[in-house]
Amino acid sequence: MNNFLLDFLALGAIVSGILVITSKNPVISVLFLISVFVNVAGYLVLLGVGFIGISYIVVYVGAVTVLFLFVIMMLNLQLAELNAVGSEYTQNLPLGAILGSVFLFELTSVLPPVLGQSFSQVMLGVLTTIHSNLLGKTDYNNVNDVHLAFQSLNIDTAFTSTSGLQIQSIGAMLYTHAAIWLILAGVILLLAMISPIVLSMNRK
Amino acid sequence: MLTISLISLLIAVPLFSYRITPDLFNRITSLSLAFAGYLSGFFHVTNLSQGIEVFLLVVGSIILISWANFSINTSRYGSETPTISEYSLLIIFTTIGGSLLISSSDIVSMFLSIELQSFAVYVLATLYRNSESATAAGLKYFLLGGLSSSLILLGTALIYSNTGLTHFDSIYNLLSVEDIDSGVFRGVQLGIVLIGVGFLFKVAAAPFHNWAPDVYDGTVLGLSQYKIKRLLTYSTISHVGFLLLALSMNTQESVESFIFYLVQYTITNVNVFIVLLALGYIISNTPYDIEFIEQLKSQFGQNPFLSVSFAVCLFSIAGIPPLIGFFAKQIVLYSSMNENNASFIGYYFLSITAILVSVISAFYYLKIVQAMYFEKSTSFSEIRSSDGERSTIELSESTLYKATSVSNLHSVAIATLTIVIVLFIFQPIILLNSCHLLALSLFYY
Repeated sequence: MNNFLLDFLALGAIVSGILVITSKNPVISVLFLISVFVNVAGYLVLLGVGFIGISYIVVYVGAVTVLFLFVIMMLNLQLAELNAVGSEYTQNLPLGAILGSVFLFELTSVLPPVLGQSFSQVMLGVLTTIHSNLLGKTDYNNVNDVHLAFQSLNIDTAFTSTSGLQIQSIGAMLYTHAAIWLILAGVILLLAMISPIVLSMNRK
Repeated sequence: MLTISLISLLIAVPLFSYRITPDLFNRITSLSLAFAGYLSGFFHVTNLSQGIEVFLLVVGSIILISWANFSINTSRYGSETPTISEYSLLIIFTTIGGSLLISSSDIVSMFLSIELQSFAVYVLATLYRNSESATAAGLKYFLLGGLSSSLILLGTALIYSNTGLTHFDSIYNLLSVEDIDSGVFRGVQLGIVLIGVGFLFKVAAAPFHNWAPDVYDGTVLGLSQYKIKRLLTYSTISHVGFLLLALSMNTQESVESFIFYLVQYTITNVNVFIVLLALGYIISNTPYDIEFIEQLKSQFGQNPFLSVSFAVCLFSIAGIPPLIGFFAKQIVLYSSMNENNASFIGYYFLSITAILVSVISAFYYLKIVQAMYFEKSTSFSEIRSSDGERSTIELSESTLYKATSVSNLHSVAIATLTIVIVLFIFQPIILLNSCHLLALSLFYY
């Protein structure tokens, strides 16, 4: 059941990700972007990475995409112009499909087969079947392993299994072991604060 | 780390001394000292990283020196100042990122420093926000830089998900005992391929270079290229090819040639751009850059010294013998034809391709030199003289500019770099020995 939910959320995230870039109206694509983030947040929460999942909702859905929505509404874009861009985009569709399938093939041929793992496959299972039918290879189920690589099974799970709240373990990690990364990230954020001022300041 | 704690303590001691007790300050200091010792593992300083960092900082200071002081003339041209005070701030950010990247020894620190370095450069590209090309360049750079960063991030995520490690040394140790056909090994391989693609994208190496000319053109088009910065970008792409050829061999000799090539190319390229900047200040009469090769026509008559140093740089980039660029190309090719590599036919092929390409690219540089020395300037001076009254005013203004625009430091920087390029042949020991020592420290440390 849990695995089915995970697959469902992943599928939802991918489909709404595709809809973000295909929908003509920018407001609707931002709404789909929100749906991507909600799906990913649900995926993370189900995986057990609750804090990061919830902070996805708080930061991305709560602040960033709503800001996007306001910006797009204020820009007052004309739909006719966007439609013209949309027709250019469909010209590149075959190229994108070729590149995407080459990339997928590379991923599947390099990533290792992991023994003894079987999964209920919704989307990825279909892909594996297509892959094995088209290429005549049945001895491995590698597409599944892309999926598997991001499952928590073979990842270092010490992060989630420590006693106490997740936020405590993240904080303990962040302020002791990884303090220099925190400082570095702080410098990046400082830069991100300064650069909009530099770029938009009115100099007299 | 220690510097940060020093600065924050300096600020905190006078400001909050009535709220924080002295022994609390002592505890904070002891904590920061402990962390400064404990945290150094994420950044690994070696002789090599230190040497390159010194070079990076020196080059940064040379670049900043060469900005002309237009403060006298800015009032006349309104808000279009050639230098913006935030420029130096962003340079500091990108330099911090660069020097951290050199010494980073952990995936997370590597990614964070790349982001710090490239974010600052995106903003630098967009700094002249009134110009359309700069905005377009910055946006394009930002989008494509974001793409390459996400590729790097995907690669690091794959490595982490397969090994559970982020430290370079630990990954190396794990892989050295792992079977080549094992799942972990192949997963890490894929991650490294993705990271490599991301990095090649960032340095604009050959298959991933299409974005670079547009970006260079905005911030500051081969055979049919008439825009000078585009041409220089294409030359950068071919030089990156040379660097990658040197990097691909991983012998002590090739590392030495790699460092030497990097140093000489940086010096020459910096010189090209600051000479171009100086010419731009002088020719265009307003603080704008030179865009087209046409604008350089017959500059030898008007600005002989600048033209000579520009020509020297171009010859050096093309690899004409007595200049530093020739020795760099020679040393790379020599190390690729080394007897250790003799069994691999591919290196011969690569070397021959590199030679052919550098011969072809010499044509472009010679075209600029030809325009500068032998062609009569056509459009620009005539246009100016056609409207009679304004030309006299502009003439007086342009003489004023010639007196003030190129600062002393700027000309000293150009002169020093040009002399380094020309006179390298008489004293090659300094550069070659330091490159040799850096390469040795990598292999026999």
